[in-house]
Amino acid sequence: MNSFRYLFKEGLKNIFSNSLMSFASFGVLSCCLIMIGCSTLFVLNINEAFKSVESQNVMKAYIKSEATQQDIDALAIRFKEMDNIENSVFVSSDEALKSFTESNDDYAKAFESLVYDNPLPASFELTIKDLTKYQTTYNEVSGISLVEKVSSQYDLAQKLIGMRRMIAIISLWIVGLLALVSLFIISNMVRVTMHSRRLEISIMKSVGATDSFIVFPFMVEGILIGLFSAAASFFAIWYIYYNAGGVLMDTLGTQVIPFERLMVPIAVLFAVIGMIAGGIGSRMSIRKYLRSGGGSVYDAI
Amino acid sequence: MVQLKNVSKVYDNGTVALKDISLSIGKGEFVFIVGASGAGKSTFLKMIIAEEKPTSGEVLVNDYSINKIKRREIPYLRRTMGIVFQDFRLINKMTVYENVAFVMRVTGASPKSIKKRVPYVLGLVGLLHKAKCKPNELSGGEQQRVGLARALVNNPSMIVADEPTGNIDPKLTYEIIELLSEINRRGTTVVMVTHEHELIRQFRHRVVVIDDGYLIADDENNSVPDDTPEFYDYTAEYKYSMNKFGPDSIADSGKEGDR
Repeated sequence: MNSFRYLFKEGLKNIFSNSLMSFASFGVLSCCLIMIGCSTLFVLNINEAFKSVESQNVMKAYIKSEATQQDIDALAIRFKEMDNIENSVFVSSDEALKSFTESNDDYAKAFESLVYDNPLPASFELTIKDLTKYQTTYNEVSGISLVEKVSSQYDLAQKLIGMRRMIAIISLWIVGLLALVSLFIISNMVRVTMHSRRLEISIMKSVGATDSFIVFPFMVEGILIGLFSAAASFFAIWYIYYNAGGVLMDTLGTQVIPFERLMVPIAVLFAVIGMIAGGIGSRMSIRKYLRSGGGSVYDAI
Repeated sequence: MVQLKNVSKVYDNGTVALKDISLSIGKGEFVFIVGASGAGKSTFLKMIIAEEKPTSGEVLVNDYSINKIKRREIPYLRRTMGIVFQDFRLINKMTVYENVAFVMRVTGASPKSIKKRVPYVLGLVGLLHKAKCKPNELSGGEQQRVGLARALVNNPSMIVADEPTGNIDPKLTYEIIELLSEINRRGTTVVMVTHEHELIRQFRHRVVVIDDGYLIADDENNSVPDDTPEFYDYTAEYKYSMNKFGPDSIADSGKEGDR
């Protein structure tokens, strides 16, 4: 415990004794984190936009015009009892016309006469639980005698899911690559600081310091720089996102996900990447240095 | 303490540093290791501190076999000894006190024991009043005394000193050897590498002479006459004796009858 406290203090001290290097590491790591953040926020927003389309895991079962209210009630019960149907909503032909007229506001006048001779059939909007069993459910619903026709946007939804997956994979690669770049940069920065501390390391080894004793302060230093960078990048990305969101709203009328909703995952992501890049990056260099015979007692002469 | 059995060392570049050396240093001894530059003294020291492994033969130090020692065991071997360097090797950003305390921290000593032991050891080398100074505020002799305090602080069973007087004023040299002798009188083994033959004449300790990788003499009684002139060349004298009487005549005076 004494050693832990001492080594932690040493790591903290080292940040300030190598202030230039620490600042450079902090800067580079922050830049990487900001890029990671931008990429993540972009994906999350794309995801959100796609979600609304994907929620079209809805099939519409159009009901034959001869169906009575009793038939409709019976159908509602039947859909409710079906395993793969999450929810069913009845849309009467009047409601369908109203919704159609509203969505085509410019031609509202032209549709006025349709009120007396509504061509739109009543329907049930069925939300599917498990998309993999979509086809079975589709067949089952189509087989019901009172169902005229079943329509769905299944193919479109599937394509969008595929696109979303692709974007997620690409962005995951970007995040991964940037995290690796951060790790590499930190590990090189530590190599430079380590060089300036060769004598110290060699003295430590001569008096019987274990490798862990030597490595630990470097790791503390790396982790702390990682955390500082994470904090700075968090506030930077907040500022960037807030402003970019405003610009998008003004120009395209597109609403982005409020940052408050993404705060925690972004903070956690930054902290984790910062700590891993800082901690593992420094550990990697110093371990490699020690294992290749660095810090030997006569090394720094 | 230290045992070398038919030890040879050949470096990767083909340099033969030690040739079939056998030697034994017992507990509480004070041994001077003498030899010209490039004779193999440093390789000998490096083996003792497990920085190098022998190419052939066997080296035993404080119950550790240097041939078989694992990387993770080396720190524990080094904690059984204190190393004193020619260039002091003090950390300039730390005070004298911190330089000494640092060694205790490495071994996980408690702050309480550090507070007790460090002033005691600094007192022993006469530097308690300079505890708050930085190394670069001290003279060479004082810096080396800090080096000695650092080597002593963990109460090692052996001090390994690599030309500890090489970088200090001749007047202060005797002070350092006096201190080492005092430490030795208290029971600590001292192995000191030097090429200052004058010191060997002044301090009557065992002398081991290495030349061109060979152990050419192991003179337990330090039999050089008192009236030898200043800057007397030990190596040359032993080489001369060896040519005159053959290697056996010198080895006979050695403790273990090596070589």
